[in-house]
Amino acid sequence: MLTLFNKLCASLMFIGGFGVIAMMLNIVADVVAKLVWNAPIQGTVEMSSYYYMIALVMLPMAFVEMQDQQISVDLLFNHFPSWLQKLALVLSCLAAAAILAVMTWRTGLDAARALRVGEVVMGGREVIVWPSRMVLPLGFGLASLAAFLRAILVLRGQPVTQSQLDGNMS
Amino acid sequence: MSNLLIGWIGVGSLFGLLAFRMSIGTALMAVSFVGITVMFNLQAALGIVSAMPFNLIGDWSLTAIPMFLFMGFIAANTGLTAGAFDLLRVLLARVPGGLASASVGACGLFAAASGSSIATTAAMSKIAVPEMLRANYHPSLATGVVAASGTLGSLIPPSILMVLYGIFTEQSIGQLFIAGVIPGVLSAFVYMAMITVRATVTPALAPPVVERIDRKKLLRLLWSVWPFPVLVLGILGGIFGGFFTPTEAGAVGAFLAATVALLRRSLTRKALAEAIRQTTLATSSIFFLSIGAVMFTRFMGLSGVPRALTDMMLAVSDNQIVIILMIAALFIILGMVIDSIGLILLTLPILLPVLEAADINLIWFGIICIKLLEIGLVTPPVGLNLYVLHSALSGEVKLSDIISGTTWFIAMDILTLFILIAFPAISLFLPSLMAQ
Repeated sequence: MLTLFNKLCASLMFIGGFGVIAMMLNIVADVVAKLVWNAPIQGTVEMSSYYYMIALVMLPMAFVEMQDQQISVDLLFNHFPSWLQKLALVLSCLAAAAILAVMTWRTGLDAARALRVGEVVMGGREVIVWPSRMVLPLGFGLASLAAFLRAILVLRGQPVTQSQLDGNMS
Repeated sequence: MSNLLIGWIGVGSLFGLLAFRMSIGTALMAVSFVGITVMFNLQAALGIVSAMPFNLIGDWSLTAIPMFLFMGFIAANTGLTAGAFDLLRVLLARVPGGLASASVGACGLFAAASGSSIATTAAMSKIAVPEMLRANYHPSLATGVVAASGTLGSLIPPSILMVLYGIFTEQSIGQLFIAGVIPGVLSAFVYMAMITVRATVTPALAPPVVERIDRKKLLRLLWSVWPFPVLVLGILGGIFGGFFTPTEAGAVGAFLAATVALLRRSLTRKALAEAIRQTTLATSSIFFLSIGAVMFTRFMGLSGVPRALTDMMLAVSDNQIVIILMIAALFIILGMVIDSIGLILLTLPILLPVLEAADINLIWFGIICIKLLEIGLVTPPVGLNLYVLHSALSGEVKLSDIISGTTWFIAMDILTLFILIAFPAISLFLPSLMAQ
């Protein structure tokens, strides 16, 4: 079950990674077209902002959470006794799960609204954006689930922090 | 309870949560959400969440972040700048402490391809440190120079920190990039001058290296290095002349770096996959933090904390220099415990009104701010660069040696900082020439 979830997170990150390449190629093509033929590729800004970036940021979010890659401050934590470390981890993970659940809910409502009106943005040309709004609740939802899973892992005494995970690999 | 009090309690609990190892992004979101609920009601708190994350991620200027990260990670994973160190080593062979000065220069060059100090340090530690240790350089000098020079990654454009600073203060990212050029070069020269003096006074620190310089070798090195400075100048020139936006410059830079690596056959599938993975992880975590920072900005604005802080600081003095020195002290202290991206997003929502009220030029302050964050990167206990270097060398040099090695460089950073504060023109001259 856990392995399956980890695999799902890793593959979503992989898809997000395509966003990097796609964005780079699209923007480069646009720059070349602009400088050489004075004819920019319509919709580059909209595609980059609303599709590649959304994929790149939201899809890996659960993976980032699972791998403990969110930016945090370890200083005091490293000097905590182990029971307090455990407590801090469980509470932090539950808080993350809760706030991410709120984000999932709110961005979900936003996505539903966008779907209802078939939202588009007008840039160089009309770009449909409602599908990319749906990626947000997906990313936040999975990240919330990931945070909740981590809380359970801590309680079961399994490794969850970056240093523990690294230690296990080597 | 007044809103102001709730705001201050929010700031206090934020630090409490961070000490409990809650991720900075989660802590910012949680504190802001609860704070706004207490001040007004749940509906108000929910109201700031709905469309904000989408609008933030979809901000065109922020697309520069993954592009510059990608460019830096490609350069690091394919050894694009390895030749630069060799070339500088040969050129500086006769200068006392030449290898250390060559490391500074190579870091500076690498910084011009990389938007992050961590990437710069990680890449250069594997190239330059073993070379210096082999030449019997003192381990603390060999490591200290790379830990400190790695921070040039944020000051010399491109720079992820500058992109974030530009977004949150509504300043032109292109102008910030160009403003960082002279201060970055100045920092590098100050380091080199200090190394040369110290190596002359205490030759044991950096024994002279015997290096025969023949023209053929030099030409071969030049040949292997040339694409890189051309790439960098092209990108910076493009921004300076207004041909590219920073995002476009990042995309073109990443594409050209990948092309050069491909031509040199160093762009293996593994290197590319690793660069993509690092870019994705870093981008996702930076944006998670930024979403929290936007919420915190709203919370702070509603609570009136920044206004109260502004009044307090202006009551001490309305002299710009005094205010900057107070902020500098705050950054140096907080920089010891919080990493740079977290620190900038944590403090700007509170400090920006102070800067505006004192009418401080925000491009100039941006450069000072980046320099301060860099000092934070090498000051223990949370000096990320120290740990990056330590782990890149697989424990070959003791952490305490690395820390003591950076002392002289931190002193030089503080000197440079005073120069930057005393002479705003160093930062503002180039941007003033830019095409609008």
